[in-house]
Amino acid sequence: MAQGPGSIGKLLVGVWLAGVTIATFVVIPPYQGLGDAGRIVIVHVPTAWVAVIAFTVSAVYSALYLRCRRPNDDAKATAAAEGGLIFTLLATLTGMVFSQIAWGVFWNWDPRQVTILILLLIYAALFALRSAIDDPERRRRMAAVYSLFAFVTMPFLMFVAPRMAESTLHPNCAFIKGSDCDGITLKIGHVGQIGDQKVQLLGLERHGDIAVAQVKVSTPGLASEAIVQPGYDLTTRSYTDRPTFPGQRFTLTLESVDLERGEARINMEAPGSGLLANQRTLWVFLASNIGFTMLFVWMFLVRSRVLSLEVQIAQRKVALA
Amino acid sequence: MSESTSAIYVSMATMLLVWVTIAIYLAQVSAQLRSLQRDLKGDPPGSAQQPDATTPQPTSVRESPSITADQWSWMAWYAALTYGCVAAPGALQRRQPGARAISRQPGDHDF
Repeated sequence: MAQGPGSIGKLLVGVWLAGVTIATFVVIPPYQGLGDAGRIVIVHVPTAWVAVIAFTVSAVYSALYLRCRRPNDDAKATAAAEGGLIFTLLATLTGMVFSQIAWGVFWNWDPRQVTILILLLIYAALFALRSAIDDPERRRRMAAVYSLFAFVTMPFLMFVAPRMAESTLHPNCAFIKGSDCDGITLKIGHVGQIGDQKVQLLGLERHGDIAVAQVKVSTPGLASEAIVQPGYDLTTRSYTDRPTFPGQRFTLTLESVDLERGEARINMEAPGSGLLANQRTLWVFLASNIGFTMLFVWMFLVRSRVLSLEVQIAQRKVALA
Repeated sequence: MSESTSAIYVSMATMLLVWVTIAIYLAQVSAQLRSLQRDLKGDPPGSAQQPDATTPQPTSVRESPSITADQWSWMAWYAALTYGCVAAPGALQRRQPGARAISRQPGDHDF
């Protein structure tokens, strides 16, 4: 009976995640522009999120170890870092598959890909450091200090650096430095700028419930120009067609159209933007985040118990020696 | 195979990769825990591995066991699965020359 709550907890995690997996393929509608590939986001983002939680837990226990010098704190810090490394690896792999489908390449050195790779290497080095030191006390101390330094880099690499980038294909609000997340509103004939692209609204036509805009897009330095025709459904108030910017994978989207005034709000998006605007996708995504967090707690508890027992056995052997 | 069908297979394979990774990790760690608990219960101090007084003892004890043959085979299997998952989109794309893996479907829901 002592294992009762633990077994129920494990069962709950299993049932929850099975539900999330089924919902990912049954409840979530295909995402416009990405089709069924958008479903990968339901596991990709939570794995990255849980990695952040894991590295934070690792840093907290590392600080506790340095303060109290309890081997159990070191065991917990190691278990959390190990979990974080696994989830970071999974976030990278699932991101690579998504990248291949959405952008056409597994790895294109996108700022967010680079920063997660650096984070992966930083935490991999933690385990290299641990295995390089034989003296347990010194190993724990060095690892705790390193873990704290590694943790300092984590928020910068996960949240700050990708947003400082000049340009990223990663779904984000501002894809290119200087672009407006809300897009720009243009009247017919007017010129504006989205990111580094010059755009001019040449005209608006109505075909039934669909409004089609003629937009002239010019690359920096007017190196090339093209006329693209994004569409907008006036009844559902959503886009119907999103052409790509010439030579790029960013898409041009019509976000609103006012035919009487002859104006339209246009924006630049990367594939995957606005995925969570759908309520069903949002709820499954949130459930997935909760499920992965519970899964991490399970992994953390089992692994930290293993490491604690190893410490106990090692201490016993040393005492007998 | 339609573009949408290939994309759903790739999504399923990716999800399988995640679950298999975590399942292998949990299975390994749980087996390790059971083994250590058995060791701790079954070997009271000084009974089974009483050190010989004349045998020199190491000054430090490694706390993590080395990778077993069983673990290597799991890793090889996992590497094969990862390769399969990563290679799948390219293979599926090659079956449809000139087509992107994903394009907007006319019946797609509006977000």
